[in-house]
Amino acid sequence: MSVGMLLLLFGVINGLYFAPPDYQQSDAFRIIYVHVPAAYISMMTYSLMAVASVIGLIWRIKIAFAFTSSAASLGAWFTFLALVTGSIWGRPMWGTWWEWGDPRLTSELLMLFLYLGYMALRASINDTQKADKLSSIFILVGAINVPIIHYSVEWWSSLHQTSTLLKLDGPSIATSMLIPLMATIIGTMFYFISLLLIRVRAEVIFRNRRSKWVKDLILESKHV
Amino acid sequence: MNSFKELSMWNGFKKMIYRDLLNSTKNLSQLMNPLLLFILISASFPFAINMDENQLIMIGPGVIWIIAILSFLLTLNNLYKDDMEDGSLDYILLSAQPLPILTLAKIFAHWLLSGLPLVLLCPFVSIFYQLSIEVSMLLSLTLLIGTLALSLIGSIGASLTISSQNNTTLLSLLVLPITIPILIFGAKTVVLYQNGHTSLTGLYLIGAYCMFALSFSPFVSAASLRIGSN
Amino acid sequence: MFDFFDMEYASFVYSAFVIFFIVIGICTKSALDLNKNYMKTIRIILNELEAKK
Repeated sequence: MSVGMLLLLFGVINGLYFAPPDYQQSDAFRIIYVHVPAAYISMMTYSLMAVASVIGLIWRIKIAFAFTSSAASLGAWFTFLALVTGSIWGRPMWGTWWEWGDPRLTSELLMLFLYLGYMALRASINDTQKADKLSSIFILVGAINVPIIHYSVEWWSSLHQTSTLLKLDGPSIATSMLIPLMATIIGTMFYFISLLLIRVRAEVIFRNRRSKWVKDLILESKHV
Repeated sequence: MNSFKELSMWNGFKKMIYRDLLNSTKNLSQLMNPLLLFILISASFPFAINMDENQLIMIGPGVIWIIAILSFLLTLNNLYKDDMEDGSLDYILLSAQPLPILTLAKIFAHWLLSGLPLVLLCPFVSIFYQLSIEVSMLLSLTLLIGTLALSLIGSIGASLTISSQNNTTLLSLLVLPITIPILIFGAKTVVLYQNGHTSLTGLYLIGAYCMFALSFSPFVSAASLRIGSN
Repeated sequence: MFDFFDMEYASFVYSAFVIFFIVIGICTKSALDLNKNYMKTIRIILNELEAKK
């Protein structure tokens, strides 16, 4: 856990990096530094959950299910964050809190519902193994949403702009704005991974609570 | 050699549909309730807004679509839950027929019983919203394909929740996000037609969604049934 | 550094950041609490197993 805390600190320091550099337009633009990491992570966790579900269902590796269930509530929070920060950003830029015509907004909202549905389904089934497998199937059914969110700005006309970071000939965003953005993205990702690892560790220990290695682990260390 | 004919997949499919249809005739009132709800809610909706005719015509298709989806979701439990409760699901799982064929048969029977009546009621309900005959026919057509897609998607949700208690709201929570695209396509088709565009593109889209659901839904439902009922 | 509050839409930007950090705080707190609760449950179970021996 101490490693996780270190990563956390690293992430936070990186995240606060956005303050010093100055910008051409010091507008509401700055919300990008929280909105983009949140959105990126929300999509990344769903993909991770989908991959973990496949691994758990096909190869029956139990840790994959522990991973999926730990990632779910984190992913849901980040999706919520992406939607809220995006909405706050949208108010000054586009003049509206929400825009139904924008496909990325609606598919991100859909993703929030998928996360919530996963958690509800998991909670409603008493048997852990069944709950694991059935909710994994549900994640896979909804997995098609992730490419929809990602490519929706290319396929339909949308208020969002197309991707400026991962283009083949280098990012097309100004460097002075790029550095803080990469810093916050990486920082938030580190933070997210550290939280995820804490949760997965707790989940795995809890699932195996009746086994010998857990007993040894807990009895040996006074402070876990 | 008659036994070979009996074991064929088409035969299994047919017999399953017969079985579901016969079973439902014992409890027709259970089928009527969602339909009555459909009519009732559609009729109550204009009271909530101020009943201006133009406004009703504009929102009519979308509202009817949503109410159709909502009342359809109530019928989804009939797919698998009843069979699970009286034990026949175990027999279905043990049968020699491939399970996706049987789930497809059940979905189809469910569509005949719960989806088609909605489609038939649709022209009458659209009278409440002052829709013209052509628009209501188009609405019914979109609902026809749409309810089939809903049956398919809904069966995934129903099969995932068979082992949960009191699963009606959970089922709706799971299925509704996935049905949002078809809601958009269905309602938009009619609205576009009302504004003068052709309805063909929308119908193609609904058909495409339905085919897409058809391609994976029986298999996913079969897998979930196997996992959920042991 | 003195133009922090002179930005246009300052309230929007700051509220977004505040919400971000609030949610991050919630997530951290929930993860740590989860850890604590799990450990408590496991300790109880282990104590029971010890007592049964």
